[in-house]
Amino acid sequence: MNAVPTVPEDGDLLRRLRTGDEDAFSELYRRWQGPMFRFALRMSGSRPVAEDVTQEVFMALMAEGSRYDPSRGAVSSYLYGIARHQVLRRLERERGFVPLPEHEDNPPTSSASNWGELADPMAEAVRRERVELVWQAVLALPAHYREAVVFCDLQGLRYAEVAEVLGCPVGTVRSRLHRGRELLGAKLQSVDPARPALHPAAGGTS
Amino acid sequence: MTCASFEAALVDLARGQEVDAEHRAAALAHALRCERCADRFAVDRAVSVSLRELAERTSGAEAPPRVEEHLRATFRRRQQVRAEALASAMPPRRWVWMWATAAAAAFVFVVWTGGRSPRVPQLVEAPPVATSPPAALASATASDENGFIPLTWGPPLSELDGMQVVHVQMPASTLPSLGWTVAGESLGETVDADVLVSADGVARALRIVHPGADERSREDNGGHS
Repeated sequence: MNAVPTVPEDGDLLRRLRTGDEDAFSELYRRWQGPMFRFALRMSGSRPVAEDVTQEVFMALMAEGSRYDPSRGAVSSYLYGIARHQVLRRLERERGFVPLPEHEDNPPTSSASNWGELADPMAEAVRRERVELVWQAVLALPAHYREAVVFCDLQGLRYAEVAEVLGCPVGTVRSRLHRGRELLGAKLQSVDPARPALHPAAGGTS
Repeated sequence: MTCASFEAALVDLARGQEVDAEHRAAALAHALRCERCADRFAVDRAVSVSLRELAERTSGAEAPPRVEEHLRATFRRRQQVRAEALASAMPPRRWVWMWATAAAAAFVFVVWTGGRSPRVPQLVEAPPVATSPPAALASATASDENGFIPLTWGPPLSELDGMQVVHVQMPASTLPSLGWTVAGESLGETVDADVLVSADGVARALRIVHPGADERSREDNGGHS
């Protein structure tokens, strides 16, 4: 009977990395560069920024990986924490500057590029325009609402994981996400009246 | 369910997760009765759909290969620097052992001589290689190219790493046991010597330092010729 090869956990890889194991570093990089890059990209709307942030995250891991404390959360939370810090620093530095998502640099991926949609260029163009509209709305959110939306809705993290990264209670994550999505809904309505609209005058039951 | 509790559950409802079935049914029943909450729900669901599209659109984005190449090169460089630093810097404890060994050796020699006059002993013309070395040193008395005579059994001096030279004073009376011939009147005196101490703190070899001796020896030789 063949033994099933076990996949090393992030913590084990990090311990090996500290002893100078380059393979362990590469494995951690391959596991997490994608999520880090996408987080930075979705937060900033800029591929160069995302590239820089990804590099900074792993440089920090290389230099200060010993600072990781397993009792404070998963390795992924530690990495997201570094990425978040780097992104916020850049946003602070470039406050007021919201880059446009580059068409050519952001080719459609996964289900967005299936054959059916490519066969209908108009549908694809409309879809792309809609996605860019949403992205602009996300980029226009204040940073603390934006990161809640990006972590929960774009990165797919659970509330508890986001709370670990942000270092705040789960309730805070939920309220920031709630407010962020509310702002996002209002923003999307203002630029696309065809979307479902709020009716403030409508009566409630409470 | 009230509008307030519906509002509290709205995001989880619209995201379609982390809501139990009973709570979800109650919220949807409320939305059917409350137009305002129904609209809030519709907007938030539209937000969910839009965000899902954005997530899908960017789901394949990754750092370009050059980032990994750069990071791996940096990693190797750092490891190399680290290895070099480790090789060049001995741990402090090792230094302590080395100096302690040398100091102890010097102390024993001084006690042995009873603090006699440090007058430079008169080394006779004999070469610094034992003519009749003690049995224990018989195979190790040949000095190396720097004039060191091995004191212990073990690998050749050239194969030992991290050797350090410690300068000491020792009684001339110990020299005959190491193969030197010392004139009788100089036996009570001290001589300067270099002790070669290995990284584990063990004295491995000895070399007599007597700058005047060679000159004197040469002069004497010249005088005889």
